Amino acid sequence: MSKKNTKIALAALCVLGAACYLLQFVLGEDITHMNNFVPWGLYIVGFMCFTGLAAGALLLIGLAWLTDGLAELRPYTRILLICGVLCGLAGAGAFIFVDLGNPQRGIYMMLSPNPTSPQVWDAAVLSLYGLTGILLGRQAWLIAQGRRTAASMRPLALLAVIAGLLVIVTSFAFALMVAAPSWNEPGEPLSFLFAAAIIALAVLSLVLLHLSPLPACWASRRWSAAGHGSGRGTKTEQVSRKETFHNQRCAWPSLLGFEQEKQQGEDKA
Amino acid sequence: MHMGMVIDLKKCIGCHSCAVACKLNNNLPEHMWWNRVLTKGGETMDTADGTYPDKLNLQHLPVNCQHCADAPCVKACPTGASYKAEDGTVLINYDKCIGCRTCMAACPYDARSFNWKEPTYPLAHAVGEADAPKHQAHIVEKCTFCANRRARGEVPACMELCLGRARYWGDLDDPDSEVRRVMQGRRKMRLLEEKGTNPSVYYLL
Repeated sequence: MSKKNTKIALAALCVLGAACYLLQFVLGEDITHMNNFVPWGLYIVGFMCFTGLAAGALLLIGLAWLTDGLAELRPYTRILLICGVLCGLAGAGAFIFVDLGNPQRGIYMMLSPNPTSPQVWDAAVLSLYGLTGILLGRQAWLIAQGRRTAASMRPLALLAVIAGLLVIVTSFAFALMVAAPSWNEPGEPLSFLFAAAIIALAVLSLVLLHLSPLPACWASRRWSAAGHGSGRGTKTEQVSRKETFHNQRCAWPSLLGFEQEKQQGEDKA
Repeated sequence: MHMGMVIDLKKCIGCHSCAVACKLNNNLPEHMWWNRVLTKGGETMDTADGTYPDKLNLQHLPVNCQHCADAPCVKACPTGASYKAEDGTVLINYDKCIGCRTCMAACPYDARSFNWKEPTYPLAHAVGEADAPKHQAHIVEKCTFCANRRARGEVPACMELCLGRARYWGDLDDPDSEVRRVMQGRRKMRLLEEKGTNPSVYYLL
C-alpha cells in the first residue's frame, strides 16, 4: 500500500472512531454490548495498551539517557516522548474517559480516595508519567539548544526509569482481583512490564517506518546480503554500507545496536 | 454488630419468589436482578443435573450480595462509593459512583449490576416501597439487605415472601440471635470461601 493510501485509510479510521466516540456519549454504555458478567471490554484493553505505551516509552527514554551504551538511541527519545508518553497518556485518558459511567465524578478520586484501591494509585502513577514527560521534554529541548549538557539529563532519566517501572502498579488493578483467577497471579506485574517495553518499541518502529526512508535502506541491506553469501561482505563494503545507512538516516541499524557492534569489532581489528 | 443471613437449602423450593420480592420492593429497572436463584448443574434455569433415572439431582441456590466481611468490592472502589456500614452490610453511595465497574470485576459472586443506560421499567408507575432506592444511569447497584426497610425495623423483603421460610436474618455476633440458633448442629457452607472474602451469608445443607 502506498503512503498516500495508508494516510487515507488512517484518516478514515480516525473519522469513524471519533463518530463512534461521540455516539457512545450520546447513547450511553449500552451500545458497547458489555453486560453485568463482562463489565470490562475493549475500552479497558485500549487503556492498558496506551498506559503501557507511556510507561514503556519512559523506560526506554530513561535508559537511553542514563547509560552511555545506549547513547545512540538518544535522538529517538524525542519521538518516543511525543508518540509514546504524550500520545500514550492522551489515548489512555480518552479510553478511560469514555469507559467511565460518570467521568464528571472523577473528582471524588481526589476528594475521598480509597487507599486500598489500585485505581487510585494508578491515577497517581499516570499523573507522574505526565509530569516526567513534560520535564523530560523541557530538558531535551534545553539540551538541543545547547543550554544544558547531556549529563544534566541523568536525574530526570532516573526518574523516567522509576516511573516506567511503576507500570506494575497498573497491573495491581488486575493482579489483586480474587474474582478473576487468570489475573490474580504473581506473574501479572511482570507481564505488564514486558508488554510496556514491547509496545513502546513497536510504536517507535511503526513511527520510524513512516518517518525515515526505511524501505530503500532495507533494500540495500538485502541486496548486499544476497550478493555476499553470509551478508557480512568485505570490510570496505561494510564501511560503504555503513555510510549508506548514515546517508539515508536509516533508523534500524543503530536502533538494534547493529552499527555499534560492528564499530567495536573494527576497533579491535 | 454484624448483620447476616442464613438460607436453609433444604427448605428452598426454587420458586424465585425472593427474586421477585426483591425486584418489586426495590423498584428495579428492566434486566436488573439483585437477587437470583441459580440452579446447580443443569444447562438452563430450573433444570436438573445428572442422568435419568437414578442420578438426577435438582438443587437451587439463591444468590444475592454476600455482604462479605472482607469485601473485595469495597477494597477495589476508588472513590469510596462502596463502603462497609457499621452494621456489617456493604452499601453503595450512588452519588459517588463514577461507574468504573471495578467492583463488578472484583466481586466473585457476580452480585453487582450496572445501569448500562437510563433505567427503564416494565410498568408506567413505580412499584414497591415508597422509599425504594432511586436508580440512576451508569452507576453500579446491588442488594442492600433492604436498607430502607431495615431503617424502619423491618426485615429484608426476600425474607417476607419466601414460601419455604428458608431465610433467616439477624446479628451474627449475637449468640442468641435466630441466625446463630438455626445454624447450630447443621452442616453449613459459604460461597467461595477460598477467595478470602468472608461472606455474611450462610447456606445450610
